[in-house]
Amino acid sequence: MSKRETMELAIGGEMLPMHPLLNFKYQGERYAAFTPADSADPSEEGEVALTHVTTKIESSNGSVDLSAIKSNDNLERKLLLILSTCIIYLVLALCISFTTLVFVLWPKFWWIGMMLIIIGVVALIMLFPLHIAYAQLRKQRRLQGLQKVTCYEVVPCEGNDPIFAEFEIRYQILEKLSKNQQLSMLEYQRLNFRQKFLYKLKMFFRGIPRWFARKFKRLGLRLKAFGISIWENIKDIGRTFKNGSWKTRVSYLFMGFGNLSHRQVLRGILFFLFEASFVVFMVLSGGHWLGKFGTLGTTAYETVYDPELGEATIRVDNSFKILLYGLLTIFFIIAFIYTWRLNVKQCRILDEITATGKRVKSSKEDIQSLADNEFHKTLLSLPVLGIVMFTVLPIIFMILVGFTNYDYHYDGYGNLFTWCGLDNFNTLFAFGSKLSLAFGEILAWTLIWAVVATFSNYFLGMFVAMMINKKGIKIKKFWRTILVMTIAIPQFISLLYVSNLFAENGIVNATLMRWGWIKNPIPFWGNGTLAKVMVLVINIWVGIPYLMLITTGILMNIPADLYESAQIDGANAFQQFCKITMPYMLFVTGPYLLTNFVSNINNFNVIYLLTQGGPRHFAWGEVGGYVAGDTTILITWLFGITTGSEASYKMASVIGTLIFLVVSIISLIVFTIMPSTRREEDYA
Amino acid sequence: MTDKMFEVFEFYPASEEKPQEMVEIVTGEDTFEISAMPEAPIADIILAETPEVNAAEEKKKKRISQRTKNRISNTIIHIALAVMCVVWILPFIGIVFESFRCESTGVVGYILPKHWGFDNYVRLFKETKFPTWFGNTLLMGVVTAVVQTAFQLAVAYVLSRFRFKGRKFLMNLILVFGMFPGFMTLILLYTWMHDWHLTDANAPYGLIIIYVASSGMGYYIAKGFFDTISKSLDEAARVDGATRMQIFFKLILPLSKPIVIYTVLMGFMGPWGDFVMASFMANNETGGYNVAAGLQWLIDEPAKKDMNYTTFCAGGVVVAFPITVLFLLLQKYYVAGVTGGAVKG
Repeated sequence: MSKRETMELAIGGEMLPMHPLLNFKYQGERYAAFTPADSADPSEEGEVALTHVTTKIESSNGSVDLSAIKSNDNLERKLLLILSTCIIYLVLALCISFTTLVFVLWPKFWWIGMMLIIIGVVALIMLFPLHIAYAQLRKQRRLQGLQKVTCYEVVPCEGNDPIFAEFEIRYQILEKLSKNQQLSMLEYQRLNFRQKFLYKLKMFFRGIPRWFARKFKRLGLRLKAFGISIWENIKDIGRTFKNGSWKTRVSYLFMGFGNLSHRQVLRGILFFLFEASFVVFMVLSGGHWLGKFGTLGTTAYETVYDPELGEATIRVDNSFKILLYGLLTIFFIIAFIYTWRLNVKQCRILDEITATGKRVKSSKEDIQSLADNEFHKTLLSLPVLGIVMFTVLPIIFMILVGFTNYDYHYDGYGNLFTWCGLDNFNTLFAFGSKLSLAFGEILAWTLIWAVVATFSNYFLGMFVAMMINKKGIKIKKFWRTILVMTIAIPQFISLLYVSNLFAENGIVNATLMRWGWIKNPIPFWGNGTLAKVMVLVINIWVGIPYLMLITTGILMNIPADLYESAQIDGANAFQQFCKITMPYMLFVTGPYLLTNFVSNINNFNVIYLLTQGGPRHFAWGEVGGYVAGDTTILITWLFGITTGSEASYKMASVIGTLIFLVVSIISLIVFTIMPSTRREEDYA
Repeated sequence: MTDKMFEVFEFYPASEEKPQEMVEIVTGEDTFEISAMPEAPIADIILAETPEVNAAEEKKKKRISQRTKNRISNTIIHIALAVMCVVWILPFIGIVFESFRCESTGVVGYILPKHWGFDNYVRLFKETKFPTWFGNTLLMGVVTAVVQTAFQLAVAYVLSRFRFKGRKFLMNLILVFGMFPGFMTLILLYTWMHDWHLTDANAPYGLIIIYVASSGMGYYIAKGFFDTISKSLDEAARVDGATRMQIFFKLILPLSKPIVIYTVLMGFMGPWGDFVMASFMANNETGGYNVAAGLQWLIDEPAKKDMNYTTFCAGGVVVAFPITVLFLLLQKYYVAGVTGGAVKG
């Protein structure tokens, strides 16, 4: 069916109430876009295809007739479409060829092949919808009439004579409630529960390709910006040298000379000292460390002849130190390059300032500004130095260790260790080996543990908080205080006690046996499944007080009138919980849930203090003198391997890197799904 | 916007006539305004629709049945809470009882001791190095609390108030490196500290450096708090000629008492519970342990457990008592910090 509407609107003015079927929106003065209004007659809902638009603009200058329906199929979108198709086939082809290569040539690296296959599948899953999304976007724009209709520029005539534009729009209703259409709020309300759920699910999956498209775009832009900024920096360095004064040119070699000659004594001295210390460090030790960084040392001992002592053995290389100080040297070099660039930039600025005849900042003003506008530098210096030296550097060091054969035997002291590429990953993923079996099971249990621990604590904690919060409950403060008190007591005391409580000769077993309920002690820590359940239950015991505290405050923030009006409507307690409490809580505590999940993946205390990772699985073999068990999660495994009798630092590092991968992937997914995490800059 | 508006409307149970009412209200208006419209008018309409006939009687009946229902559910909840409290508190009472048990020192199958006495406490202070451990932990707790508070507040304040080049980079750096498990670096930190002679018997000093150095990474909660302090205060102070430093020390810090106390409390309590780092750094040199490592060491082998289990419990009581009292006194601030951190993530 085809329809024909004519309407008027004032250009540049407020939107006038129009025919109920169509709803005009202004996008600037030059563009008008329109959508079928939400309040359309339900029988006519559906996709609307514009077939024809004429625009007639009347002004006191006379009337202009425009027949305009501009297609929105611009080149960019077409290109994207072609590009996405190309990328899909390219990625697929690359993955297939590389996978075959890997499987045929290096069967040892089968896991790289698997990763490639996964990347290929992911690329298919992600890029194909991307491709479809662009195709659909095009179609949708055309169908829904969202395309921009160019309104020809009209010069307002003299006086207050309003200009009227008359649009004649013909459109066609194609299909009722098309699958691609996003529902308006009213339409959404008409759906029943199941349909609502399906709709949300559908919208979620439809959102994924759009999210990826955005991410890819942003990544591309960022890379581009990064490249451009580097290129600009290089150009600027060259330009400064060409145009700068002789003082500036000297400071290319002697840092701080420019500042000194402009009487910025403090900055000049600091720059110079930095350069001097860098040169001294590089000459004395940095070059030495860096030179051996590639091999991590070649000779552990050397026999030298000493005229006084005779023959003596001395230690020459220490792989550990070479790796560590080599890394430090690299850090230092990066810092030097940055400072040097800063020095050049400052010289240019000083040149510019003196050229305009202004006064340069004195050292005294520099120091003063450190307490004022540059106060953040003062505040951040020590904490950031601490973070870089004690977190960033050690973690990068340990990641690198994963690519060496550093362990108890090759300790880098008596026996030097060296780079070994991906060998450790190969060992861990070796198909069908004991270790890979252990890794798979431990990873699975870690994830199960984290999910169950997080959500059981969350819901039960909320439940307890609601019980205490309920109207008519007496001595609320007392209940809360008792629970809060248990937070204060260090976990190693309470957990070690509880672990003994459930021991074979512990109180629980003894009591049950005394009552005659059981004949033999229940092996709470001896049976794998039972131990897992026990760990989860005791974790609830540990976690509920925290969650009770956190949720109490938030629960009290929910406006009471929401509940009142729900009660008037006859909603029972369960309905109120599902429809009011849960959405609100999930929205507010979303980020906390994620943090809690991550901290549960790394929840060392509960597992280690209760079971030490046992009951042991000797079939899995030992790594670094540590035998993993049923309740071992990745972090306790890592700890066991690091502290075992034959510590295997390389495997610990590999596991640590894998924990990072797991955590970061999960966080990335959750961050993109949850609405409340996206608003991090809301207060800014 | 849309998410919220869905939630608002979902609160009304699906009945036959209501959506149409809503449609009628709505149709005349601009769609955008509907979403911003408060829910009150709709509720009014629903109220007006309920028939007045028999309303009073039914209400009375309902109220009575509601009251009995409430009474029953409240009793159940009271009982449940009482049971819960017993479950939560029992292990701690158990520890106290164990610590007064004199007839044996191992793990036993009953709660109430047969002979009461202070033997375990005497043994704890005379025969073990508990006083040293306690001193070590106290030292670590105090120093960590002070420096960690300074670091965390500094980072949080800067990230909350300053916009500078590299801010986003710093936040991402902390986020990404915070995802690595901290234990990974144990061996490097040990070797490093060993070079500076800050392990074994000197472990407490090395541990202080380790605790303090990375403490800037836990800035989230304090930042969330600073974010809630209005920036117009800062601006007003700037107009009056205060420097940024003066604003921080004279304006923001006095306003942030809860979060300062929370950070101090957390910094102080950290070393009391940490036994991984502490035992690793001290490396079998018991003189360098903190209470957690030391007490755990007392019972880390079955034979030792038979000898020292009650002593361990006595140590636990000695450690837990002051901390619990401190914690209960400052509970208000702890709750403020934890809740704020959870809401803002």
